[in-house]
Amino acid sequence: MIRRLPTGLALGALAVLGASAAAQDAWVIRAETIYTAAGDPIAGGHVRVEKGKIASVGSGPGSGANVLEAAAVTPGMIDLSARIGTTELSVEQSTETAAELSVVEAIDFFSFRWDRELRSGVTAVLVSPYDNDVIGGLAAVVKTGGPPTLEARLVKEAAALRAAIGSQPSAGNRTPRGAPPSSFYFRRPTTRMGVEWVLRKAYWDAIQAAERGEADTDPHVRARHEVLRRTIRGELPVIVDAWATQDIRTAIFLKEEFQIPRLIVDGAAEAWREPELLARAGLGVVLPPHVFTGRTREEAFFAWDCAATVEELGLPLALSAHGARDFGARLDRQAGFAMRGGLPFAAALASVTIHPARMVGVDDRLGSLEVGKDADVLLWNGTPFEATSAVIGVLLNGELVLDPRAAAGQ
Amino acid sequence: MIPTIPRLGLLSLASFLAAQAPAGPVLQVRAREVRVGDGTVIPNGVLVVQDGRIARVGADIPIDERYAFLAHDGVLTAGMIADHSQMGLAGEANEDARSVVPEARILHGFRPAHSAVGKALAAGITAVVIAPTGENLIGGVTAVVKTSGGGVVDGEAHLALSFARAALTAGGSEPGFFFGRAEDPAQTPDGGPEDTESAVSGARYPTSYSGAWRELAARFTDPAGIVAGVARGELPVLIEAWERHEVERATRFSRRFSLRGAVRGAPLAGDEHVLAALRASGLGVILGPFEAGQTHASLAAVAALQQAGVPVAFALTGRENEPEMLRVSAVRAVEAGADPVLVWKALTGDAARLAGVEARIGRLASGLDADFVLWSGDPLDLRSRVEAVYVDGKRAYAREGASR
Amino acid sequence: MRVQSLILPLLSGALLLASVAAAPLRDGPDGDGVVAADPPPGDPSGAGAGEAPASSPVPIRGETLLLRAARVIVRPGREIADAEILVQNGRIVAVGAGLAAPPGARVLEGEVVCAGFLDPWSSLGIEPGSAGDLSTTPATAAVDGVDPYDPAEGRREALRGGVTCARVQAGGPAQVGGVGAVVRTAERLAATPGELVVLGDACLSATIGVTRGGRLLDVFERVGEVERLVGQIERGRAYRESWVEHRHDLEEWEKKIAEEAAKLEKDFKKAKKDREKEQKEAAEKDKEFKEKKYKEDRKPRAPKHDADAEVLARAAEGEIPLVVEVHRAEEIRALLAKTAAFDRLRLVIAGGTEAAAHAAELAKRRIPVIVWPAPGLGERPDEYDGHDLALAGELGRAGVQVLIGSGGGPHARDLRNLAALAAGHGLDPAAALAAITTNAARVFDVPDRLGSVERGKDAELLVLDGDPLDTTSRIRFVISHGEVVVE
Repeated sequence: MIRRLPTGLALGALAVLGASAAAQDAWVIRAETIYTAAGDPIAGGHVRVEKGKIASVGSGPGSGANVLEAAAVTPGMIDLSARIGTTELSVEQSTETAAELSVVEAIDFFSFRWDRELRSGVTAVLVSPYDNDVIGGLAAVVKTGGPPTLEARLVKEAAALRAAIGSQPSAGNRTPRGAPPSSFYFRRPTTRMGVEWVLRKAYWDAIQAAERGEADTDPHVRARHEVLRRTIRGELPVIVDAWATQDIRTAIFLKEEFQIPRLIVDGAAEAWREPELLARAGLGVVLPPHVFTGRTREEAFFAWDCAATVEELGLPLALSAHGARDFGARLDRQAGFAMRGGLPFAAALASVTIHPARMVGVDDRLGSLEVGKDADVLLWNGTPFEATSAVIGVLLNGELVLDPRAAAGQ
Repeated sequence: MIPTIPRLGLLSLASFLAAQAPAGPVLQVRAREVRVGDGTVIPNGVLVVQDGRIARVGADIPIDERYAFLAHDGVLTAGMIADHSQMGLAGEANEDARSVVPEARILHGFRPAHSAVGKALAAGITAVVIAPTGENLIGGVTAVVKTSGGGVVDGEAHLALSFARAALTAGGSEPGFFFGRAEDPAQTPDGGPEDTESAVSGARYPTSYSGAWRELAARFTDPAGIVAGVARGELPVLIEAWERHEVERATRFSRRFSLRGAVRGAPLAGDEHVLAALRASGLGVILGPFEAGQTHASLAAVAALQQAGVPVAFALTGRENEPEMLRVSAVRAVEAGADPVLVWKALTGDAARLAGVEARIGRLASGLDADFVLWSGDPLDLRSRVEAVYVDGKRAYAREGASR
Repeated sequence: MRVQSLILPLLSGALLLASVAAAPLRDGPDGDGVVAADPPPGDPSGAGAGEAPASSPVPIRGETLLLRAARVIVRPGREIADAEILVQNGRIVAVGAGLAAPPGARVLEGEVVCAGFLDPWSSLGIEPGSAGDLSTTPATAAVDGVDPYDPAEGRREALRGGVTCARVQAGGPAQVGGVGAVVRTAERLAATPGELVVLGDACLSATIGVTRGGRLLDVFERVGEVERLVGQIERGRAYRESWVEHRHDLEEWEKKIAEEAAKLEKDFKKAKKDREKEQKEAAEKDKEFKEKKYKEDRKPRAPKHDADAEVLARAAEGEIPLVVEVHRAEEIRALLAKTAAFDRLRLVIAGGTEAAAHAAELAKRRIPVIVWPAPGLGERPDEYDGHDLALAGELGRAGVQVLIGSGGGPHARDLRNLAALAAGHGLDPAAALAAITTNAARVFDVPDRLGSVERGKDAELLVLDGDPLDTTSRIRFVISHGEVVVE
């Protein structure tokens, strides 16, 4: 083991360890409790990692040369609304319905924010285009660490279709002074109704185009229609930015009108207001970071027990920190806040791991500690999500990117 | 098309002239040091100019007393080349109405009599690349022009592309500024998405990196016009990209469509991942001009690129009225660790190569244009001054008070 | 030398500390100092030369260094071949040929050794908000805006460029920007103000604006600004005079009081008797007893303390130089004409884009000009930014003392390049080097500490592999306050 280092050298040691760890492709992690997010916790167990994948999970110390120790181990966390790595240039605003455009060419993997997410325990995020369009385009799941190239980071390119309801897509839009509002040239929505109309029209067009055949249509528009039809067929989830009750209702009406099987509302601060409607629709829910006043965007009130309410309805629930800078507001703390509002531990764990993985269809690789999945593993110095606990170690694709031994000063 | 000089013919002409009695005006210059441009320094070297071209360069060339002779107690080098500028364009470097204007020729906006051109000449710059500023996705065709005599070295030097933020935000198309400007159907790029649902009023297309990639990819997948020439590798590209991810995207695009040329911008080209991407793409990098507050990282990029074998040249964009900036940028790079010989190449030979005109200018070699500068000392010593500048063998500038 | 007594209460603690630290040095030897003097090998405090008293707050610092070079530029125009420089405790303790390295000394070798550069016009290390502050007054002290923990890359870069010290000023394009300071650049020295600040009150700085609030001022407004500035100086002079008068009155009064007291003492018995009698009479007549009044009871009133006027007075009296950024010929003319009456004023012009028009008078009145021959030093709000590369040469040929500065910005790194460019555009090379070393130190009253390689000076030194102004030569070591800060 490493001898005790003075605090001042800890950082340097970390860098050295990081470099040497990169050469290691096998680790055994021992912990008092292993939270797999796939069944009951294992007391006194181990996770063995080989060649970037999880080789075994079980009770007992396991065997292997490179041993890491922690109080607890969980899967890497997943944030479906991390809002990092993109700018307003991620959304193509020459149209309102850019469904066929993928966000992947607009991601900045050089941003320092990736590393911040990674070190706080978020190992994968869903990157969506900004919500300036009604339909912004295809969102992608990427890892938060590794070489800053699309090739190295991408988990799933078309993981969901991003749309927005509410005031964001119409923000700043006005009809021209003096011009008739019906003018051919000013169709961009200026109200919630307009936004909803654009969204419904896009779906109608896609459906009608299929019935009528669209051999003559522009290839981009053809691709757009196909993406929308894939969401109707349930091959692709739709993640809709909707915070206030009226917007959540619009999402539900839309889902029911076009029979969209997999619809996720992002934001969803007021998901607690009409639980029956929510349960009837079977939405997926991504909740925003907690604020002490409860007041969020769109004048929506985010209740402390919102997560618990959604969980009780049996709906897929995911939490998000929206890329918080503040240590006290990152994703592990969001899980803690949700627990304070009544969410049980197991559900809290699922809401930052396996639930978000399932919602965007990457649960074959991410979201739980099971043999064969990506070795994205977190090491904790105490019970996860407690205020006194922190992520002290991170493995990403089996590589040690945050060394728990440096943190512990061993 | 601007006719390019038949190079072979010229070379044979030059060797013919060396052997036979010259037919045209001849100028012979001997200098304390002749720097050829590849690191070779000829003490007491002689340069023989014939008909505006370099006939011979060497140490042991006898002076023919029948012809003009000039002895210079200083350094003789090839003229410097600013590899990116808007010199003499009077602010008309970008066609604002549209984002995709591949057939636009920047040469038509160039005014040889512009005061900045004369200033550049006096600073030892004999040729400049005039190019758009990267506010258009495809900004048009760049040109290489001389700073004296209005000469055009190449009227079709590169096709200027842009992966920069500026290309997506120019002309008020920033998000949040969509209030009611009439949509001009003519602004929809031909071949772009025929968007019957377009809701944007007057904003240019595209406004996103994703849209830019799609638009450029579409044009290079099914190339037409000048783009076809670029896709076939006949014409290099000059891709504007600043942020690291933009540069990485530019290199990826360039590899995908087998393009050659250079990236302009890239202040953080020294970043290991960006450097690797650039190296794999074969693109050169045009850096600068380096301002006083330039970060050390961007100055050190020159040394890093040179070590990785990526060709570098310097831009004068935005500083056309202060042409000393070109040399100052180079000196700043040397201070930050770059090799002076390679930095001088970046100002001359490599600049010519990245602009595709290395057969015409950038070095002192037989057959090339006689564009050269007489310096009082080492040109990378900022105490040295330009004593005289010759373009196409003619004296184009002489310092006031200088001996000749 | 300066009058320190009046300003001390006005300035900050940091400044005070610096002044105290600097004070003994000002009385130290001011001669050439270049001798193969006796380095005190047995005395690690390095105080053997006698400059640093035991009470100096500057701690024993750094290792002992021996610099060896083929050329030692003592100051521009004076060089020693194959010489050594011994540095101990932050000072140069010996300069000469054939010095041996004391045991344990680190030996640094190079082609050339010269003094570290001093940027005479900078805001390096000033916290950005203070640097652009529009509400500064004459009494605003730049040292209060120096951020010792500023991690700005500009400081590291300046050091790499050989700039070890800078004359910094706070305040944006305000009329009067306050008291400028000479500070060190090195980050790792920044922890204690005494090390950071070489001189806390190096000058008073002012600006004659070309623009105000983004609007271009017309010529009358600009000349009006000159008048206001001169009015301020006059105010300082009047304030100083009122104090002088007051002190005079006070002396008179004290003298009279003493006389009166002596008289009272002498006639004490009689006076006591008289007073008792008067008291008695008053009691009998049931009247109030009144003490006798003396006109000496009225102590002369001190003028109202005015910190701004105090600083203006110091400038008016030439105790500190007055640096005025002024560009156009009209304003320079007005400034020269209106300040002619202040015979003790030490005017320094900064910028001076059109100063060549008045070169003869500037030379005659020995007014230095800080030029900024800078391509690419960043944008300024006006075209009159002194960027003309030939200006330094023109002024130099006319006999004006030229300093070269980085224009009041945070980018001092280029100082050497600027001096080289000025030399390339006609300034005598020795004058170009003096412009960023010896002369800069002289104008800002630190020639006894900075600007030359002499015994007793602060160890601010550069070791290069060529001429300091040859931009192809590299700076191999930078020594600041006796520590190797760049290598």
